[in-house]
Amino acid sequence: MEGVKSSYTEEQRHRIFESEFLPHIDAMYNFAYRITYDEDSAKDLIQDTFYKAFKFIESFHAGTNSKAWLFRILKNSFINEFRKKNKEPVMVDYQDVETYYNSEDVNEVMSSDLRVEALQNMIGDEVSNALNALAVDFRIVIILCDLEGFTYEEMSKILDIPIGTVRSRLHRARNLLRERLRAYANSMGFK
Amino acid sequence: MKDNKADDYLECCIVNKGGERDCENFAVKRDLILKIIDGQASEEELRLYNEVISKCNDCKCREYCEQELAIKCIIQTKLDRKRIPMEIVDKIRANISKTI
Repeated sequence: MEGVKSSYTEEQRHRIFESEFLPHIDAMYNFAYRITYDEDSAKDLIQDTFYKAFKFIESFHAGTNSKAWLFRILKNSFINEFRKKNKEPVMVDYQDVETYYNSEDVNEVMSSDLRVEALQNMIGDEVSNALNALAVDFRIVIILCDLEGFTYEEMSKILDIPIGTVRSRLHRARNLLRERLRAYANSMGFK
Repeated sequence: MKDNKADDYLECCIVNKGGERDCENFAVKRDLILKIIDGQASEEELRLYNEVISKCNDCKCREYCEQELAIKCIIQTKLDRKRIPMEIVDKIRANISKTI
């Protein structure tokens, strides 16, 4: 992602934009929608991200990981502009996350009342609601890892946090998601 | 993964004081399971998993692994994938052209 600046001709810039940036637009829109939970906001965020990507295209090295580079711009746009504008109320106390991960709680026996069959019987809306109920920072790591398939290292670069923090946040996010899913499963009568 | 960790895995499925099957060093196993589920495990870690945890029957690391896999699976299969409307792609292209 970082490195010496390149100098592209106008034609090269357009080619990079069309062949390396645009193929990721659906994944980015999906990510934007999942973090804003609003189609119009997601559309605005995508337009803003692509505008910035083109504006700063000189700092992108053709042939490198364009998807991670674009997701990083998207995430920064979301944090710097969208979240400020919308006064996102739910923030994660990362110290709390770190403390949790390093505590004895991580050895806790996970509850046995969430059966795999209950999970498999859930419909998309229930899964979506459970995910959306998480604080956005937790939602982000789950989407990046499970939906978009980024590696820990890529997520570390996108989110500007150490790999250990990526893993601890992901672990905490999954535990919270499991709790939400368990609540749905119980409400459906699965024991 | 260091070799001296191997013994930890070999303690999977022990019988605890209550007579139930259990894992020693569950945190270590959980860490390995998550790496595997996330596709981030090394060959050595995969070998350890195949040698020990994948063969355990009904202790908590097995249950944890199955739950994590099921959660990952429903996230990947039950959430709609949004597609960007073509008009937004056109708008982006138009905006880009203006900046030149």
